[in-house]
Amino acid sequence: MKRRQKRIRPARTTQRPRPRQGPGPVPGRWRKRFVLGSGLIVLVAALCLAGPAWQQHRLQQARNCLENRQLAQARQWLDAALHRDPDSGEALLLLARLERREGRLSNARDYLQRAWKAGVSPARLERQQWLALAQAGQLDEAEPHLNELLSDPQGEAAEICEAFLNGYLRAYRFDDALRLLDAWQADFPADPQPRIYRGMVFEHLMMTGKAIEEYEAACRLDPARLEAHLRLADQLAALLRDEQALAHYQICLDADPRHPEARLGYASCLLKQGQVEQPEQIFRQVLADNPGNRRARAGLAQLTMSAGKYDEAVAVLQELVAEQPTDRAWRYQLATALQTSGRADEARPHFEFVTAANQAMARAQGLLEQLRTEPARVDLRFDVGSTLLQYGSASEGVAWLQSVLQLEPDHRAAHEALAAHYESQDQPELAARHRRQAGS
Amino acid sequence: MICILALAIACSTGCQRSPRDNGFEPAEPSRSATNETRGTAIRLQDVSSEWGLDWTYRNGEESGHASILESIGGGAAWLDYDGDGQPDALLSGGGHYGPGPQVRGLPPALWRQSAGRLHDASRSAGLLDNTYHYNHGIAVADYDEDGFPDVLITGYGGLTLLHNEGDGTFREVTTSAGLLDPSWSCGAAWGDLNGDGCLDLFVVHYVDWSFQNHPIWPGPQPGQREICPPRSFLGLTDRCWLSDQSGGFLDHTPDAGLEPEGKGLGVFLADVDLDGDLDAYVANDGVPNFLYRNDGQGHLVNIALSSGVSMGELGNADGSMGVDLGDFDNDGLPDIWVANYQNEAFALYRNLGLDLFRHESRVLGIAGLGGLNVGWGTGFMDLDLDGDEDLFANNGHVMRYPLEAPVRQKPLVLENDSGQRFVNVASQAGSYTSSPQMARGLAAGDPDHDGDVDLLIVHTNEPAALLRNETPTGHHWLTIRLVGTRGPREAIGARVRLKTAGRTQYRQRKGGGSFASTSDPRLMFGLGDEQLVEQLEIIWPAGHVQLLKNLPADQHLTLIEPGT
Repeated sequence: MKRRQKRIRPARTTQRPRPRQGPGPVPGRWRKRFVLGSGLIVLVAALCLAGPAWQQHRLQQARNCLENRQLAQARQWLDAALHRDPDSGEALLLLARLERREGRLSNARDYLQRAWKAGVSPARLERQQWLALAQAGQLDEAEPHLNELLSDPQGEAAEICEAFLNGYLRAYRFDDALRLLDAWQADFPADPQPRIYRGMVFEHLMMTGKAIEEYEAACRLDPARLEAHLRLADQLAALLRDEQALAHYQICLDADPRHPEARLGYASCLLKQGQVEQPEQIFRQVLADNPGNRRARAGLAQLTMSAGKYDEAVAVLQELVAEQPTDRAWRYQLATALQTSGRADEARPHFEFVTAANQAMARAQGLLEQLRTEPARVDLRFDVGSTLLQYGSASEGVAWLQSVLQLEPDHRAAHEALAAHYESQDQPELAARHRRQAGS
Repeated sequence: MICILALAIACSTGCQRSPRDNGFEPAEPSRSATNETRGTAIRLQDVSSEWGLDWTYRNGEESGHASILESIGGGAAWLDYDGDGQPDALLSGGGHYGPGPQVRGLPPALWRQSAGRLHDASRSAGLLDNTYHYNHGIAVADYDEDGFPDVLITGYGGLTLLHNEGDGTFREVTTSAGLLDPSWSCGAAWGDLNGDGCLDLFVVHYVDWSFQNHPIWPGPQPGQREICPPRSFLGLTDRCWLSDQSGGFLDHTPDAGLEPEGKGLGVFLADVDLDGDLDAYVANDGVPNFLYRNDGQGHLVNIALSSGVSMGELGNADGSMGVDLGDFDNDGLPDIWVANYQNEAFALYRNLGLDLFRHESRVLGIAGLGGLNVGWGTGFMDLDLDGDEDLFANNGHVMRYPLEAPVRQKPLVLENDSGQRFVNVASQAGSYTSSPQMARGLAAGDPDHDGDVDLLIVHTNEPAALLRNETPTGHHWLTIRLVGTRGPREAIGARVRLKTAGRTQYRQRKGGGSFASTSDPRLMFGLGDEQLVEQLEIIWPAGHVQLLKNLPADQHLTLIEPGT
């Protein structure tokens, strides 16, 4: 301690020089100059050497964040690294991984190209390309490399599994997903992520109880894993177990009070329990952050209807239905609001849609059950996909139709359905591609 | 160097804002209706042993067929079959299989009441002389107007109509009465659909299961077999018959305007739109429910979708089983209550008038009860006699190995808080209601004549239960038995308005309701602290109005429709 005090003192004297009282002893003055000069040299040298080391530190932090699923923080580190060196191959490669994991595959491809130009080895790029293909659901091209990837994971075993699992889920190949999860879970029993993926598989299979078991296990393995809490809460809420769901939403909100999905889930549970003021407040807060949020607008419309303000509800619901015409719940609520406000003629087409949708979705449910035992039936997959596109979740419909094309790339009707969908979504390039393939 | 780096790292991490720094505080957790710890006076005591009731409905599950037939269960009825003024109990028997893929019925059981004890009178009443289809439901009414209640039994393979001979016995008259119906039936309701003064019959049909259409449904574990769900089968069209006015029935189905392919389990007939004729509400399993508006001639139009009573709040077709009609908010407009499948809110549709209803389960705290329940026998009833109608619902799973809910489930005892909210007080209402059960049919009545509502409950493969209401409120009451003269004796469709100093209550004499069961025909009112009924108004099915004034509380009234 005493020695440290001694080292600090000279620096203070340089900052606050005493008034000169005439020339002092020469040897002392030279000693001071020597010390000052040496300090400056060391500082300059440190700054020169710190640049590369600091860059390495940024990249390592980015790797750690990627491994810990802290993608936003990983991006911060990588942005900083690229700011320091725009041609850093390692940073570009890591950004490609990040973009892929966030589902932006075209961005991932761009970064891989830049990484290649920056000199990253082709072998490393190739691995990333396989993972991107897997994640895109192009499993025909990626699957032959799965064993190779897993036998030499290079510290990325979890990421490899995730990429393929995303692909399997995208292609609705649940049996393959479960097999890969078995392997992942066996090697990493303490990792909550395979349990989360297993839960997602069960969600797709509409086995909510089993999905809940998996998410609960994930929460036990890592109580801080918000994704597990959020998914668990959503499933519990779907089963009307609102008290339990609220507890898990609350955990998410404790960690991130502005988490939009957790806020909306929380408010929806309160809404189901007959509360008015608090859910309304939350919906309005979410809308303040994101004025277009549909769930929040729909929640407010529900509250408005309960208060008997049907005209007000109609206005909101008409906007929502215009934005997403296949949403049964909104169509039904709009129909009942119109009917109750004396506009039966306007209500009729919405009632008719809901009736048709219920029938079609009930039929699709039967087809899904058939698919569990006959997963290779292209006709069933097409039927489910078309139904979902028309009456249910468009993204799921697209996924089912893409799964048709996985099994039968020239399936004309699937291409036509996808072309029509992309046309309706104002995505002309994709639409044109499927039109071409439909015609070929 | 290390110092510089450490400083930089400290800055880079320390400068990141923590999630809590953004000024938003999480929503305050709030207590839901389900967790309200308010006390209740309601007490229901299982007195089955004390009363001597010993009957078990059998579904034949031991055969291992795992058919959907086994999932439905049985019903019960209160009826005074021998005219001694004491309600007797009738319970369906169920069935079994064999040899091979054959479905067989078990006889129902009649339990005659004698001064607070029930005695098995099945043999003496002649019930054991008949063969029965695999049976579920019981619909009781005096269809031939001879003063004695007759019995219709529903089930797989056909109906059974038992005519009450008036001498303590029943005679099977199904074929001679023209009630040939090979479809699988469950709920049934009596009522005068065409206004001719005679009782007609509405029977709901379920699905097209048979051993020739019996898909194997795997259970969650290898080697387990699960009950095949109703969505795997086609629904069947319901059926109705009009009385031929001489003790027989004519099939009215082709002219009635019934919807094709419902999957009906529950039904009631009542004047839903208050226009003086009987309308019908059908609870369907997994497809939209029906509300048939009657034109007074027995021609029915399904207005459920446009009325807002066909589905859940968000347009999903619920798996509906039990139903009832009541007026929970005492506004004079009858509301509809439906017990649904797990993960679906039980539906309470508030009547807004003009054939419009609003799904109010969320607002009234019912949607927040949790999604575990699979609801069956149910009904509006003023359990604490405080002047508003509470709700009771039996629960129990249909599946053998459900993953998301228990097989045995606690009932719901929903205490009405002045029409503003319902609170489940089952855990406080006694050992029966705080324990999981395998319950199905429910018949409400007053077998002990103390003015409050007692319950007869049928379980699957477990003894039936008689719950005596022992709610210590000191509240007053009035029961009314209506006897029609210009219309059917049963007076189904009659509307009653009861006014005391503090409030006005409304009831209807309904046909059907609950699940596969028939409740006491008496209308039962709780009066709270009021000892005087200032005015009682009866609108008889034939349309004329009877007024009575200044009636003392705590009495059983029998009112005979005034003649012309």
